Amino acid sequence: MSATPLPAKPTASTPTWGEAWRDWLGSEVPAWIFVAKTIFAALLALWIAFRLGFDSPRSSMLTVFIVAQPQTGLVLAKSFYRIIGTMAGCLATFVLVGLFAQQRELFLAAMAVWVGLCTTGAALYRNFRAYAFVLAGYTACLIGFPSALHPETVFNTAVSRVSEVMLGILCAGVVADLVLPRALGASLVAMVRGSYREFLGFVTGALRGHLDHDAMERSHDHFVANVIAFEAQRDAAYFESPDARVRSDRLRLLNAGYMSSATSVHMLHQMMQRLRRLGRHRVLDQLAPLYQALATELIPEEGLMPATAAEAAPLARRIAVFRAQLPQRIAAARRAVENDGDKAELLDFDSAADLLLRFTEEMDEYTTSYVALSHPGTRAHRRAPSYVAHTDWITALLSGVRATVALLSVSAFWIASAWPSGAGAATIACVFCCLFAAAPSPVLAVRGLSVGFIWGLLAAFVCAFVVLPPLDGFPLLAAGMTPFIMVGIKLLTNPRTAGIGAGYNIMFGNIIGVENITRFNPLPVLNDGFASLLGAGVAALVFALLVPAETRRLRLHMVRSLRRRVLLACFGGMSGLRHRFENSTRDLLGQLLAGADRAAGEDRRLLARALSVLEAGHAIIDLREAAALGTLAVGSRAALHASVRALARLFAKPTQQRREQALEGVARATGRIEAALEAGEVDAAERAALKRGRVGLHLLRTLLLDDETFASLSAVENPAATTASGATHAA
Amino acid sequence: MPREIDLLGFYMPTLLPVFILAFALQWLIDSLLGRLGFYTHVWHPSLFRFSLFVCLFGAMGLAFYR
Repeated sequence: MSATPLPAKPTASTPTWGEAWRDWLGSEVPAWIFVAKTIFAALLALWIAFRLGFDSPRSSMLTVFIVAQPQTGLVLAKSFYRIIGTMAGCLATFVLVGLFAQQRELFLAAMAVWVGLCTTGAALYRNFRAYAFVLAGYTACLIGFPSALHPETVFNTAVSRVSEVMLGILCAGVVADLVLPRALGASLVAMVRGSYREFLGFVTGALRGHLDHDAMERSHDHFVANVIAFEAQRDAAYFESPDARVRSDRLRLLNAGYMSSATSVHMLHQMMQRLRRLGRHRVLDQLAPLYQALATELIPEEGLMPATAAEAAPLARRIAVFRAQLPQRIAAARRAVENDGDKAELLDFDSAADLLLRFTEEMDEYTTSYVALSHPGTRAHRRAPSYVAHTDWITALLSGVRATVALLSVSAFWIASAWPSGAGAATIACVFCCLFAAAPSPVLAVRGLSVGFIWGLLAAFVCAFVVLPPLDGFPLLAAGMTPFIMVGIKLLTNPRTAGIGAGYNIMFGNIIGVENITRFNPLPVLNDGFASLLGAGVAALVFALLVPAETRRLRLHMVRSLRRRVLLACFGGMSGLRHRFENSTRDLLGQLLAGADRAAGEDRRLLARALSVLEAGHAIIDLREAAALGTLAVGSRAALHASVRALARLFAKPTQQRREQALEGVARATGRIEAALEAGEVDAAERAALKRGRVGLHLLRTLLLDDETFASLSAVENPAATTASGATHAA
Repeated sequence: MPREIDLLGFYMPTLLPVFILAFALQWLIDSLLGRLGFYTHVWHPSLFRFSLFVCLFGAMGLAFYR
């Protein structure tokens, strides 16, 4: 088999036959299995629909195409939300048809408002939850338009639509789960283990000082993407097996622990950098042994990383012991600084030591939740906070308005021209507006789907009028359609062509028109096809013209709201605030990074800004916790609140003047806290909170004085990067 | 037992609520078995789950259609 002259040392440029074969087995075989499974499920759905005599059997087949996903959990999750969306859409149609069936203008306007609402929902939610809103919007169009002309049929249309969708979902789900299943749970486990190991390596590298700034930034970029991808997988795996359901809470806890440890390790790193810049060598010398000790506890020199959650159990015990000892060790090191350092150095030491303590606590939590995953039946050891996505009401409402306008304009054209296929065009315009409401570059997405539409139309035409007419009976029909379907499903398996594949499948399934009574009439087929293309065109136009989703202004708005996340830390309700702040900031950062222009360094600027925001926000929350103490004098409390307000003003709109006001407020609050600490009328717990508040104030002061940080927050929001990305989209 | 249920003038096959009931029951049993770690001893868990559902639905449906 070996065709290379040096079989022992295969080079990267000329893989051996064996390697090529294994490579093909690894990447192509799962793809073809997926293709075969999907075709089987689609034909099964079609056959059952024919046997049961459904009105439009192709809807069942189309549903299989739409929910087709490589992993079982994703199929089930998408199916679940598809059912919910379809039901909601049906109910809405009943109401709308019942109210406005006599007045087509009113009916279409009400429909446009409903679609706008659904699109707003789709833009607010993530993953398959958004998909439920899409479905609610377009099911209403799908049932509503035909039945508005014959209101008495609305109920039957709705029932058959729901039955067809359900049949498709059942077939897709059963086939995905039974025939050579690929479980999402397995990839989730791999992801959990991989990210824990990677994080451990990263942390020990950072503590030992092996990582430079670039490596630090790259890792953070990666962490942000991990947090979002992990939540998406957890959400979908919930539907897959009871195993994932039992662990769902713990997985959420794990993700929260991952986020907060990543933030505190970064804050620690920033603090060390600042101390190095300030030349605080005495402080650094006292801290270095503590860092070394923690790094040794995490991974002993030449030690192995734990491969599974069960293997991490000894590590969790070591961290817990270290966490218990740490306050004493810090106190000992503090005495050394106290003896020969001044007050400023002591404050710096306190800040750094507090961050180290906080990081150790979070690493302990993270490792504990990781270890807890290895037990099959236990519940989470504490209440798992739910994932908080960043939702932007302005963008979402704009998407809603966009969808309403698209539907209204197509409807106007429909009424004015009395076009028989107008309903199809309006439906497609509505589908596109809902589907791409939250996409980072909707025009490109619409273009991909439209290209798929054109190919799908051609394929359906050839299939319906060249291949199918001489064939008779279901087996021959299936055989005739299979090659055409295969092309579309294969396109889905490659992320680069997935959009085209989806368009191809939708168009092909819609146009092929396999009915119980077969009619070979090309005219309506072409009409429907062109109607769909026109609908897609209108959607693309609306996306490009009406408050364009990709303009600099919208992006600036998002970049600005990244800074304004601090306002949540300043004014949000205190319960669970830390997690909400952390989670929504990271989520927004993830959304921004997804569309960032990496070549122009935009991702680095975004990361720098996000990390400053996280630092400031956590310090402000510390401050607010200190201000909430009951024994604090009224004047002191007012001073703390005033400093929080000054900071909020600064982060709402950074100017030099506000920066000085904020510094002034921070200085005044520091004086108050120190007075309260010296007064000595506080118990241990309150003292700890006050100390944390003072450390927070110190951190805020350093942040405010640091010109680099201030520049990253106040810079006119990345003009170079946004124009560059605008150019690539225009090209 | 009637084969169709009159729901506000809409005739719904009795099998539909039976299906939903069987599904809920299966979800319950499935969660219980998963919590007990039963599925580690099963070769094809999803096939087992599907068969369980077919048994439940079949038994309940036959009870109504007898």
